[in-house]
Amino acid sequence: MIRRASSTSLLVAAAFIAAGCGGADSGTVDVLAASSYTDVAELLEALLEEELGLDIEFSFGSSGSFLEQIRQGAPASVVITADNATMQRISDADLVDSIVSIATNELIVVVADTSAGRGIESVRDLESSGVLVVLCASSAPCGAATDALLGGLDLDVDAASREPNVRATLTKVRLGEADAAIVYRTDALASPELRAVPIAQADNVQVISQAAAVGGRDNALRVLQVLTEPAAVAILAEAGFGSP
Amino acid sequence: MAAIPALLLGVPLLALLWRLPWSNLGAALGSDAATSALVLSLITSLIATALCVVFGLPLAWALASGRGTTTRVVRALCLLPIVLPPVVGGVALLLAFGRQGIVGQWLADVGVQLPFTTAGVVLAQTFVALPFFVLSVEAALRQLDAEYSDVAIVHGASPFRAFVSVTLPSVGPAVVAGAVLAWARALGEFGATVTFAGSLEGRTQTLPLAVYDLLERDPADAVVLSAVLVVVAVAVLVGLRDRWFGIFRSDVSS
Repeated sequence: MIRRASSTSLLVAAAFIAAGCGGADSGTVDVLAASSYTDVAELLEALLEEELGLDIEFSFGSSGSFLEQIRQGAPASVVITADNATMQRISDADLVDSIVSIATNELIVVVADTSAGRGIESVRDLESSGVLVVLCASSAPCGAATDALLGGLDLDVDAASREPNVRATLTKVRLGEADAAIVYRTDALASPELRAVPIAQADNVQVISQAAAVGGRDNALRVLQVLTEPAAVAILAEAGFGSP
Repeated sequence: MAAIPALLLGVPLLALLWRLPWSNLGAALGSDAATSALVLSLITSLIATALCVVFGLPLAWALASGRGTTTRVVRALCLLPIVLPPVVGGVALLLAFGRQGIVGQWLADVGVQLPFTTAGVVLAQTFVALPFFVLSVEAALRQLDAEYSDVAIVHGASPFRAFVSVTLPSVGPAVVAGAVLAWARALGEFGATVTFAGSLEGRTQTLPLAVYDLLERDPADAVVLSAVLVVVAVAVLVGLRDRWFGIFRSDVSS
């Protein structure tokens, strides 16, 4: 029994040591990015590594969870949020500095090739019964933007689910489980198998995606610098992001 | 050395209770999101537990009395949801019972929809909880002396009658313990639920999903709801303290 207990402790201790080794001084720059950057990250990562000669590591999540993650010591040097309101909250908590706007995004309707989906021609059709719609949770930036969009249009959409982030929302339509969803334009471009129904410019809600350095981390400012240079802007434009 | 794993398990729970915003407790529990998640979780987990008992009893009995390869394969299938990451369970459920799933497309034809519904939540919970019930009851049934029910059958009872009036009462405690374990597992279900049933307040957003959502909007409220789940878990442990090991002992009828 004692033997078993001590070998368990050794295992735990080994895990702690291994975790410690992956820390800040290993030459890796960790970037915590909103889930809408999932597809474009590979190109950005390659650009940053080439320009800076550093090992860049992207990880993704809902922007809404970043404040708590950084506060609890997530090993990120740079954080990229989907909207500026979320970045403002992280900044208010004194966790970041040197905020730069790097891209804009806007909402779009994506539609699955289902019988109810084929009938959708405009965002207003999401109101009709018989259409299974999923939206982002209000706690995620895409959900906040969606609420603003639907509120502005005075639409009452009966969502089947409010998913934790924009990628989870998109996935439900890609799997054909939902007929339609409201996601970012960049997500629609990343899933060409889905039909995209644009939202009129006058009605649409634009989000400004921002990047910032997490307090006291090396190399973060150099990463931010590269993210605002023409090469990065071109990569983002190719993925469907607008320039701020 | 034994202290380290004990701390690993104990400290997070203490931290949760330590950070509990006592002054804010009533307001956090009384919010719309919290109450609808509490009610939804209670209803769905109780229905899932009932389904585990109804479908789990015959399955446990078949496993306990079976020998052969089929029994072993079915038992392995039964264990699978325990070792499977719940989110993978959710993906599997979607591929089976989703609108485009192999069973789901037939269900859709007759107008039955499971994803994004409360019934979908119950299905996900039953999927992850059933093994706990089946294994508890099967272990008790295996250790039961088959002679008693044989005597009843010799004396003219039908096998069903012998099962109901002889076997069932002696494995009663294991049935209760298995049902409580299954209920606790159903109540805590997250991965399969969010993947298969989505998250919508009042329809599919159970307590664990509400905790996840609140963590991004109002972390203090998330701590309160987490504490509710801790209290339930502790209550289950206390309630089962005599049965916990009892179900694996030979003298189950004691």
